[in-house]
Amino acid sequence: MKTHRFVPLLGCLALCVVLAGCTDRGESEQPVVVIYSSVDEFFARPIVEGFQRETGIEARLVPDTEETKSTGLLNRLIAERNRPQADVFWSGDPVRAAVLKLKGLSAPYRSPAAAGLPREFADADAHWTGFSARARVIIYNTDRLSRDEAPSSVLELTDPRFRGQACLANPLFGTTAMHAAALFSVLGKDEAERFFDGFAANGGRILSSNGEVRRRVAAGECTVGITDTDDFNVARQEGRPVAAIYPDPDGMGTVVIPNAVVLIAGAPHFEAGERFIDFLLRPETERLLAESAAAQMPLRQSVAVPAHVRQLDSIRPMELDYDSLAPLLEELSRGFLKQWVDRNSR
Amino acid sequence: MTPPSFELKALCQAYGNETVLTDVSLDLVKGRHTACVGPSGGGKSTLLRLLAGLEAPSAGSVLMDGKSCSEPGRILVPPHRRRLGMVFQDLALWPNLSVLDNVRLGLTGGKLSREESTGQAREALVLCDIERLANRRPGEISGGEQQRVALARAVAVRPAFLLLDEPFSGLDLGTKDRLLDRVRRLSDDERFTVMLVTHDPLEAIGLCEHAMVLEEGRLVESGPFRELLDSPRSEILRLFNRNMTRTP
Amino acid sequence: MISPMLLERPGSWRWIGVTLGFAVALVPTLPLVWRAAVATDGFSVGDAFVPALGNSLVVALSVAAIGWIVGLPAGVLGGLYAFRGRAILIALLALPALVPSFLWAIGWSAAALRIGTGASQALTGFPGTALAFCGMAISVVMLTSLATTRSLTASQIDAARIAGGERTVVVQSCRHGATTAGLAAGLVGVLTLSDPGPGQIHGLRTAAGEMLTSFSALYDFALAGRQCLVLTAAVLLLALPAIAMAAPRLSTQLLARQSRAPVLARNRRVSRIAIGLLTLLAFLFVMLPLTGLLLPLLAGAEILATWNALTRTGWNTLLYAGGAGLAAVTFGIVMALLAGRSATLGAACLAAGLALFLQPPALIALGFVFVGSDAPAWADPLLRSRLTVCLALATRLFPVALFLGMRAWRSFPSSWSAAAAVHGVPARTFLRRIVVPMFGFPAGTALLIVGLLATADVGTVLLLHPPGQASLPLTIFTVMANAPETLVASLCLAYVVAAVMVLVLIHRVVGRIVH
Repeated sequence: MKTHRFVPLLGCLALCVVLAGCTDRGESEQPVVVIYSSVDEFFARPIVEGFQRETGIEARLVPDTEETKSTGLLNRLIAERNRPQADVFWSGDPVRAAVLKLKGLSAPYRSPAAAGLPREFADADAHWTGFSARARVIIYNTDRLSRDEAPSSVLELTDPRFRGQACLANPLFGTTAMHAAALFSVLGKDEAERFFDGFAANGGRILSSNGEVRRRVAAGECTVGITDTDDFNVARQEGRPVAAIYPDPDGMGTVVIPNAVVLIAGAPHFEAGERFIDFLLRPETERLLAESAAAQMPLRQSVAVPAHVRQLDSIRPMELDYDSLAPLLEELSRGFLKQWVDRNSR
Repeated sequence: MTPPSFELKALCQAYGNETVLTDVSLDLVKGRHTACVGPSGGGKSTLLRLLAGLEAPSAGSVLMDGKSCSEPGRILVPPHRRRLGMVFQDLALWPNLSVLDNVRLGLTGGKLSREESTGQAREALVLCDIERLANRRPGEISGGEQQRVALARAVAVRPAFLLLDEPFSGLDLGTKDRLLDRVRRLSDDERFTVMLVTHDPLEAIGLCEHAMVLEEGRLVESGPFRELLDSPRSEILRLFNRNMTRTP
Repeated sequence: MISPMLLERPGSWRWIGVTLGFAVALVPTLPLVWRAAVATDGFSVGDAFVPALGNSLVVALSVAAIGWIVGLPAGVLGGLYAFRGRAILIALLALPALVPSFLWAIGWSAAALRIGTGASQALTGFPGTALAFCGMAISVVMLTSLATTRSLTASQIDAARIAGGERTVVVQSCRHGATTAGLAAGLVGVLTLSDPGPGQIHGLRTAAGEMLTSFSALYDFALAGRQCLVLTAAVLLLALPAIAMAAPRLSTQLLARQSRAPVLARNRRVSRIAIGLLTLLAFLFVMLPLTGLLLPLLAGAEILATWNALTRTGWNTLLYAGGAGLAAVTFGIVMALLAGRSATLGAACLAAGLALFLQPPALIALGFVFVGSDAPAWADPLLRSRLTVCLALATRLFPVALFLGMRAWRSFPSSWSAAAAVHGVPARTFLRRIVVPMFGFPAGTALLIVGLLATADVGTVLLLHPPGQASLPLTIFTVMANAPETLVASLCLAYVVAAVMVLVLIHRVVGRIVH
């Protein structure tokens, strides 16, 4: 190509980029709702598309990556506080929802669709409402351990028989962070610190994510690990040699992590946001999430579930004040947990 | 239009702490081809650039027809208004343009129409006997042919003065001789005066009747070439004389 | 009429122009840097940051060294010789610059898992982290060296060939491109400092990982800002001597007398060496981790889901890459012209470019978010659109174009401007007819490299894309946590195939990328 044609071609390209880049959809005649979601896109998108089909409201989903892979959507929400783009934040755990409340980014909304959802999984001031939950489980490689040999409590991961064989994700991020805060809340500072120090002293490995825990246990590189039920379910569906245990049924109980939905303060499409929250909190959505690969436990006992999904009343949930976990986690993240990760990383 | 004449008055040029020219004065008279000879690094190319208005002098002035066109730190008359053509030491051909476009772009300052500039450019190519190379690019022709393209570009503007900055270095004797001959004939036909910068007096003697010698930025001697050669004061002319008289 | 000699004229206006340019580029970082500066809890960066910074510097230096040592001869051989499979091998080796480092790290990790526990252990910590970055380093250095080699004249190569045969040709070409390649390697080394991915995957504490913790775990922007300032200061201190040495050597002027473009040579012995080296590199740094990423496809591919994701995100992916490339090249070349030929100003530009390159993508992106949130709604087409994503990406990556532009400008003889001035060619005509077209090849190379790096920047797109306008790499990252491995592998394959198709298209249309 002659160079004197190259320049006008580049100029045309530049014009296309500017026009295409600037002419984003913006406000259209069709009603719109913007949803920021930390729930895995693979699970969230079908639900969002279902809302769009049913209501005719255009639903623009902004999903998040795992926290260890990028700065994260929550930071975007915080930075946009003066003029938010989001109407709703659909969180995979209540801690992030509580952070939004702490920072004054959420608005109270008592959805009529929340009827039947247990109150202990919602904010007392209605800044967030919990539904469909995951649980923190111990997964083990069935080629290397039998059911009898598998641990029944997370505290057993400090046992010498699991030396160098146990793994968990970085406790500064995600649901592992929430699990760590829960342990400190329930066990108390001293015992929780003993557990973490014992885990590290026993050769326990800190991996980058729950998905990595799943992969390493499935591959047999680690024998046991702590992860979420949706991670376990992915491995189960892939036919990997793993099984899960809901830990501490006779002790402190299993950490239950409900989804939490938040109406954003100053949302540009307030009413559409409320409609989406109503859609999300209804029993039908809990059923869909239970039937999906997420295999999430409905918080309503009345919702039917597939055979491989546990009902809430079949496990012993850890008794947690979810509102208090956010400030506790912030303190731990700046203190013990940070130092623990630093000591036990290279 | 009457061709201009140039006067260089006490020209000095310095770059930072380095002085390149000191107190050089010279008259360039229409019709009198002048050679500027001297060893490498003597300030010859700098002198040409000052004359062309590409740089402003640190001290002294350049006058055109008695009026100042360059003063210390200021260029009062831009290069394209001095009716000069210039062949650069590295030829300065624009590699992405064809030979014809190189010459045609060089006519931009004349405000000609496209047809006029194309016609004038083709004329210059004919004069330099390179019309057949019109659609080739500089990278596709030989060194000697590139020289003629640079020459065609310089004469296409119908200059009053043609400044040649070591245009023949690196060429074989035959090519050099042919090019010198062409410049001589062009200057007669097109009536322009040549100022030739070279470190080889042999090149200059065939073309220029007047000479100046620059050594370490200073004008050592100037005058009719033959007279300088009869009693040279500069090292380069003494060496030249010695080599001319030496027989194997 | 503005004289083209203006482009050659020194003066304080150049310093002012360059300073203003960098000031504009640094504006997005100001919100967080300001928070860091006015924080009331002192200038603490956390106890773990300094040792993590040490780890990061070791990784950066190792990656830069490996990239330089391996990428330079690979690019030189690819630029000098014709051999079978040349285009494919070069295109393959360009891929690592395109794919986010996280994915390479996961690919290595997955491949190691398949091989066995020993391989996984061997990759833990420093080795795996460095390996994940080496592919990108080799890729960028190779592309840069290839471009540098192609800028040699035929006579320069012939002269070397006459002096000492093919060995001398290769050695001299490597020497010619060593400084440029070294700077490219250094730039990639710098990029690794702000990328937390491989360190997270392979369990190595890095400065970028600490900053990610500050952002994602602590939501402490001020702490992240302070850590960023310390990182920038440390790297500049280490890099300044190298920059001061390299800046004057950025280029040598082309000899205008003989400017034949070199023809690719055919030499059986060297061709075998070239094929061997490039194939080995492609196998180690591309095929191995790619195999780890794509192995789940053996169980089946998710064609429909992949197609849906492609149609939803494909155009945005191209737009962000092309837009970032165009913006970076335009700004970079203007800055290169402003920098001129001064060695001091060139060194200052390299240092400032390095400092900008160091900034974590989140710092710049969040700065745009802050500014966009405080701006009125009518500014949204500039501050909250897909164009914003392009601008944010370009802000961080334009030093690539600046560096290549400076090198190109300094290789153009100043006599071109002088000849134009003597003939009365106005500056705008000179720029349009001569300078801009001559920048074509280096601008094209810069556009390609910036486009590749921009595509791999998931963090910026996550923070800035308008709702519903994600890119394909971002989509891979948002589904990969719990989507079936077959879907993730299908999306990765689609991404790689699309990238290769774009590279082939560029090669066909422009015709010079792989020459």
